[in-house]
Amino acid sequence: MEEIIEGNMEEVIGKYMERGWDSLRELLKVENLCKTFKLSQKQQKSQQTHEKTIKAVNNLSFSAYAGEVFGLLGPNGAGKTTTLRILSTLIKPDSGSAILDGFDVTTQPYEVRRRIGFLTSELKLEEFFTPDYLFGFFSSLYGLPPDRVRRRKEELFTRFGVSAFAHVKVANLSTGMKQKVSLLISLVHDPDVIIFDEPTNGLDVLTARVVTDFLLELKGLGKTLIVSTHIFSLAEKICDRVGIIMDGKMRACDALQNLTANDSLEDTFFALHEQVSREGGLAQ
Amino acid sequence: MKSNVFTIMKKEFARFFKDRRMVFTALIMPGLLLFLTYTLMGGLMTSLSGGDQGAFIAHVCNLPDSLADRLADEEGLQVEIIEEGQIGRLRAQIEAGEENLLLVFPQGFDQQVAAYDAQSGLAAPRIDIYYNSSSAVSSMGYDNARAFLDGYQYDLCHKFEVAQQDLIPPNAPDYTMNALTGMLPMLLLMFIFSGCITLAPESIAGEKERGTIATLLVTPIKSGELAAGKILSLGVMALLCGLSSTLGAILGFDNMISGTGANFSFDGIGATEYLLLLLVILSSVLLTSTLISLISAYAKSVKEANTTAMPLLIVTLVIGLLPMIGGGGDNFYFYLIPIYNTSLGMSGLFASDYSAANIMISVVSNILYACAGSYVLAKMFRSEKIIMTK
Ligand SMILES: Nc1ncnc2c1ncn2[C@@H]1O[C@H](COP(=O)(O)OP(=O)(O)O)[C@@H](O)[C@H]1O
Ligand SMILES: [Mg+2]
Repeated sequence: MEEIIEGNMEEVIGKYMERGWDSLRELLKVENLCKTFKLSQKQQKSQQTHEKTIKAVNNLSFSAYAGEVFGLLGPNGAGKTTTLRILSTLIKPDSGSAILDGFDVTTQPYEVRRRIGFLTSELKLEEFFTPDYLFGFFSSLYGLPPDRVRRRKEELFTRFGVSAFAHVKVANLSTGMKQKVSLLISLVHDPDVIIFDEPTNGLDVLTARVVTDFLLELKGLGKTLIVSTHIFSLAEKICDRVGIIMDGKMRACDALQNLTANDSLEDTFFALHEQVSREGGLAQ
Repeated sequence: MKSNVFTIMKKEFARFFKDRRMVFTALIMPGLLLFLTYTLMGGLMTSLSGGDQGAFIAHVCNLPDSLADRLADEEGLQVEIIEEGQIGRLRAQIEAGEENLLLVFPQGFDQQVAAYDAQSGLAAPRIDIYYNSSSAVSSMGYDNARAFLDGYQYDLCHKFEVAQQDLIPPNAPDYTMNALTGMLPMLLLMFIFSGCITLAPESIAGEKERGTIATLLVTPIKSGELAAGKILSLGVMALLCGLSSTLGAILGFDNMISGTGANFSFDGIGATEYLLLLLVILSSVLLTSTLISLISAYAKSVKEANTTAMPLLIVTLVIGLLPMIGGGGDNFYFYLIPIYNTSLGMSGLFASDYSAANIMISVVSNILYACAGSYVLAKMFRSEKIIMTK
């Protein structure tokens, strides 16, 4: 049991009391994950480096448990997006493994995709279509039965206030509305695991609030959330456990309570950052 | 799952047919343009050749008896005999563009010609032709009169005779039809190709560029299903675009040549030929949309896809014209070369000179190439280098 759960026993017991055995189920296990990118000359220039390759993810390991919100916290370029892309099967790791709900993201991508919803501002919807059409289209790609689709559409459209715009082309929606539509389209199949890259990035304050509330709501429904962010306050607000990632490496991984036991999350982060750069671990 | 292929196809069709601008630019406009171009060209040709507005009127003064019969045989020509006293008035009318042509023979032209000795050094009997070179119709009347009189002069010498013996078979296509059927493979290839080229870059490179294809790839759809759905829907739409162009061209061409009196029909082509032609076209549509899909998947943007596909279009056009230059029509191996096999097959079918086995070889090989291509496309959709361009 100690092997499975990092963090102290008290917390484990507390969690168990709260949500039962499921909270001990390791829903995601990432082990020694590595991903190297070749840099084009243009990229070398823009990143001011002469290296031909970059280790975006460097021997990364962590676990997330059923029903929790796990946060990957790190500065820009730390490797958060790359990690989440690997988890959502968009790209393949060079080495290491990630097992999601018992399925390997590299060898069983289709099983993994059925169980996850991947949300990021990079995944765009075809602007020509209406939210209504897109909802139906993506539902059929997941092979969902029509009556379930109808119920879920109703539920999500109402929840996000999209109903009034259901038949307006995405191109003609406001940015905030577009983001809401994007979000609910990635959840058509009601996945158990939600992977969310920088949930509030680029959102106006109102939409950001809707999104954070919704994430907490999803957690309340027993969903597991893997979230990346560089915003300390967001991590403090929604995460149960946080992994601090710098330069592709996991520098600390613990329950939020433990990371914030003595200091704020921000102070903990910068203390760590300083320590790592002193050790020469950070390429600057 | 076959239904995923279907879902993708349905989405592609919705994307195309619900977009009025797209339907107009890709589907309606090419056909309409071809129709209008050919029709206008036809109109131009008819107006240049004097039009159908009744017979051409030539005014003749002192018409010699020897020429009366010959002139009466000329098609589309009406001779009006005038008196010498009217010459002045007619000259004025020609100058004003109201009349077109006046021929003035000397009195007793036949006798003068008979009596004339070319060695005598005396002036030969003279014919005056009045016309107005600023009028196309009048000029053409002059040219015809000139040719007519030259022919007469030539016959008068009568040192030898030329007999025309046309060995044309009873149902042979005429010369213009031959040139036309020679161009057809190129035209059809071009229509198919341009259909694909207006659609595929938008549908594949465009989705890449806008980041919508990655959204598809986090769903459980298999990359092979996506590739098949894209290629098949593109094929159907390219076929429709090609059909529109072909219809526009045929109807326009009909208009164009109707003025010249030629007849546009494929007498030698029967049901079998049409069926084979359909197979050739279908298989080549499939192959072409696969090829352009591959180019579009490789390109980083719609623009790049378009510029990359252009050289291929030019190569296709040249290949489409190759059978006109001739050769290779019965070389089995040529029917394995993509695009060339299509143009060989089509030109053979139009000329009713083909081997069904060779045509089938080209159809089967095209389908095999398309399958191989869609396999590669599926692989490309799985490749992060292709999909994650940023
Ligand atoms: N496709 C790619 N090609 C080259 N370098 C990349 C690519 N994707 C990410 N990187 C690099 O890998 C590093 C980690 O990037 P990323 O995972 O996006 O970081 P984060 O999301 O934490 O900001 C960055 O230095 C980034 O420039
Ligand atoms: Mg990122």
